[in-house]
Amino acid sequence: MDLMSMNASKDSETFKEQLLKWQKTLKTIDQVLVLWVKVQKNWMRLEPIFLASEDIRAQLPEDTKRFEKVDAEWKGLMADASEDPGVVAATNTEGRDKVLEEFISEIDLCEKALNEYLEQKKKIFPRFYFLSNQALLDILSNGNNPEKVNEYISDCFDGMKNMKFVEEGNRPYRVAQGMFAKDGEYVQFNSNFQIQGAVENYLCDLERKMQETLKGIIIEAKETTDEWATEKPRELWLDDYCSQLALLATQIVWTEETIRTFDDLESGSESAMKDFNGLIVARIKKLIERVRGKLTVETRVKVITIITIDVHSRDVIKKFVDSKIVEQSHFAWASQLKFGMEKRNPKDDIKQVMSTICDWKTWYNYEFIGNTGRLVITPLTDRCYITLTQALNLSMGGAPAGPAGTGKTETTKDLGRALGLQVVVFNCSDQMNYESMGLIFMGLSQAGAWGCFDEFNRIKIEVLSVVSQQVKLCLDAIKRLKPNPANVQFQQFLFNDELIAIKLTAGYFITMNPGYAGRTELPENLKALFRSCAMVVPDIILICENMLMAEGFDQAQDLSKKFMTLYDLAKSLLSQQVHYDWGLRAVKSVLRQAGGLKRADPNGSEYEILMRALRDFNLPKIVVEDRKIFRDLINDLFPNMDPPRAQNEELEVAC
Amino acid sequence: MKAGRQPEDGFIQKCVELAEILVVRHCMFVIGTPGVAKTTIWKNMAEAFCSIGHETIYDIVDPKAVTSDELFGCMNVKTKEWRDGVLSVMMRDMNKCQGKFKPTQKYKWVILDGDVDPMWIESLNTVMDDNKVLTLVSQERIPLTPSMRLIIEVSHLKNATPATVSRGGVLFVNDTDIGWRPYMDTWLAKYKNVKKDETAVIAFTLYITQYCNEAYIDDLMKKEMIAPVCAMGSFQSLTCIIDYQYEQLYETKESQELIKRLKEVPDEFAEKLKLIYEGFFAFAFMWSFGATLSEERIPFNT
Repeated sequence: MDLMSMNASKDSETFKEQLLKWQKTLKTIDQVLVLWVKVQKNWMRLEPIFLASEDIRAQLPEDTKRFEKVDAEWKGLMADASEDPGVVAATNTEGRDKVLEEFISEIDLCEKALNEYLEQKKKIFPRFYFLSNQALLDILSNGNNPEKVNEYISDCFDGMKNMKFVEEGNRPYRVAQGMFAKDGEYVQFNSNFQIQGAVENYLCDLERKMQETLKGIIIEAKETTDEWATEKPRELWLDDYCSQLALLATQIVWTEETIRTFDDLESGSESAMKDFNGLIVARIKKLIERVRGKLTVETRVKVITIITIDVHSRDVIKKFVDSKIVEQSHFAWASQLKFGMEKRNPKDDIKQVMSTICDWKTWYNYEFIGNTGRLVITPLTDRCYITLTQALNLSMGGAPAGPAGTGKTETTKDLGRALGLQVVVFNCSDQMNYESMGLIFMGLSQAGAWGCFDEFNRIKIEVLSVVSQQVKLCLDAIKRLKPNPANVQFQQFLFNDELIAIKLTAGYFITMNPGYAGRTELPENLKALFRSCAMVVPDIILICENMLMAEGFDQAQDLSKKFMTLYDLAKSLLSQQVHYDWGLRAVKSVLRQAGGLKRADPNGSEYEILMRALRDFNLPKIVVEDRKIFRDLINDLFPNMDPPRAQNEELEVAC
Repeated sequence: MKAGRQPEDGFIQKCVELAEILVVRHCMFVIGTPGVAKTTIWKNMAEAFCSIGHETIYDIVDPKAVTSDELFGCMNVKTKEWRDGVLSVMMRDMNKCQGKFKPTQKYKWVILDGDVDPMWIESLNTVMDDNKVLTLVSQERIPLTPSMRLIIEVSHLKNATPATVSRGGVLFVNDTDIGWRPYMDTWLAKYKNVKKDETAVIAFTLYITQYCNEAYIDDLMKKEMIAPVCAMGSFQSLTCIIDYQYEQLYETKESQELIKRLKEVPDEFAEKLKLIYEGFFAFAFMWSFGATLSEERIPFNT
């Protein structure tokens, strides 16, 4: 700048030559330095990939060579520069900018090849789409080392944590025996799993292995359910199978038994439904007894899960009895999520699990989900299930909407779990752009997984309009494929100028809280692609009762009423503080606390236990002015009770 | 009880409550106005856990000190280069037990100390609810391990949406739960145990009981101020001023000579010294509590 103004002045004639020279030099310095820094940055990123990883060198020989050439020259150039560190000398060497520019174009080529390589791998094993590039590179470069890859399995599979290897000969980590779930549950493969070939291929094999294993076990589990009445009562039978399949088998049996009961009713046995109800109640009672005993954490979760679903089964049957429903075609029965075993092709010799709600049917997908526990099913979740599955029936997406803590995301996830599907939850934020969304959709379509986009309306409006195009492409492809699933031509579709595969099981769900700060209104064309489902008031009282029962409480019904009364009163009588929350999540955490107290003191009064949980868990968040009111409320509901605070001596001393 | 904190009942109760909430929730808010010992509560709890053999480690971030991009990381649009953020690095290290985190540590806490703002907290939604994964724009998903906990320390939740509030457990620390007395006790204990100055302890205890009764302090705090202060803050400046004067007393030449002179009459020395301390206290009290009073300075003076 200074030079330029000097140049412009009329007295510059004497130094004209010098001036021009410096002007030119400085300009070159600036240009070269920009290039220099750019090369350096890119080189730093690619160096460990191309030079350190054997696998990638083998896969991309040409680009490795290209990179090695650049690398050698670059190092030479740096050495030159360090010999004469002056900036003028380093940058003004003849043709330096040309060399650097060449580097950039070469490195760009390498990077492009690398990205294409990653894309290719992702297409082979679509679950790679849900990994960061860094992790993916790590997996690929350690492809020959299954021990290392094992650490990443939990990133690709939702429920699986890692594999159990067996020693065989001098090459360990080549044969896997079974899989561990994230919560520690172990399932043995139907036969040993050989790890062979490239990493993306054996991960595909692993996916298949997982599905086949579960497919085999469920058939066995279903057969052994016949022994419930004889040698092996159900409460012990469930120890033989993993939580997911024990539950599935229970649900299949329940569906079959209900259908049989309807048949009995038709043939004249009037008390059939009532008897069936009695049978279910007796079964639940046995399970509750088991929950009260000493169990490992794992088994407890498993039993609780089954109780949770059983209670719902009981409620359904009870409704049939009370309202005298006798036909199978009645909506109350049709609208339930039902499981049955059918042959997929008439030629097949094994049966597979098929799930039905109303006129929507799908095959079970055998994704291993582990021992995660399931949601309490209430009329609201039932309604949400119907809406979501009908949306799938019409090749649309689903959009549960409602205030915070009504179980929108959880219901979607739970439905996915019930169908043995992989559900990937994304937390949408305003940082997301159409490219990252595009990648997600590509991943979901190819993996046939469900995507649940949490807080969808936090995405910026300009991104949303592109997203609606993307969703439409995916849904259209599904629509085309659905009537003729065997048609190879329809199994692929054009997305972002790329031909990608699509699986029919893919589903897209968005959840939103309308009207909160920082949320956008969805564009109309996007709204038209999703079938919305309002979830406003969760059936807390039912959930509460069910959870109490699953935790082993006898007086669940009465207790849950007291619980809800307290929360309703607290909501209206205490001062309005922003941090007060009397919703579903708050209820659940108190119930978990109560369950813990109950186990610590199995013979104590249940009222006292619940009161203590309610009091001790809520008081910490109540402001001074409200304390007295809250204490009075609780004393009114649980009169003449003042159990001491649960003392934690060890902690108190440690403080 | 380390760091000379007072084993006072209200404080211990809050600590135990914190520990209880952490058992059932993996994410919690510690709410309270400044100076109610929010930080001290969780720090104390971490030390307590360590002392009974549950090794606890924590990392603190102020989420408002950095932009949302810097917190969670961002994707460079042109080069598609991923730049990690503070929180994403922290969570990944905790998850994979890298760096200073080890599998033996029973609890790993992420402390978010700073105002809650939907800009950053909503991105933590999936972490705070039952999904327990941090999803980043780079498609990376960092799950929360059973040992990890999120503690958000904040003065109020006025800016948070119900979506956020319902996701975490709440520990509300009232102004009166702990108050300033334990702080003063700790301060006095310092004179007793570290400086071994019995006279000062007796003198200051006397002045505190004389001038700082709760009713008077409450009354003072209600007066019109030119800048908002809390009682705790005023007490902090009170002790700081006294500490400084006390040091000066034993360091500068003149005062040392003064003390030498006083010591010549051993009988009256203690009394004289008390008088000096009273002067300190009065001066400090004036400049701490009186400093922010606006129109009420005159009645305060008397």
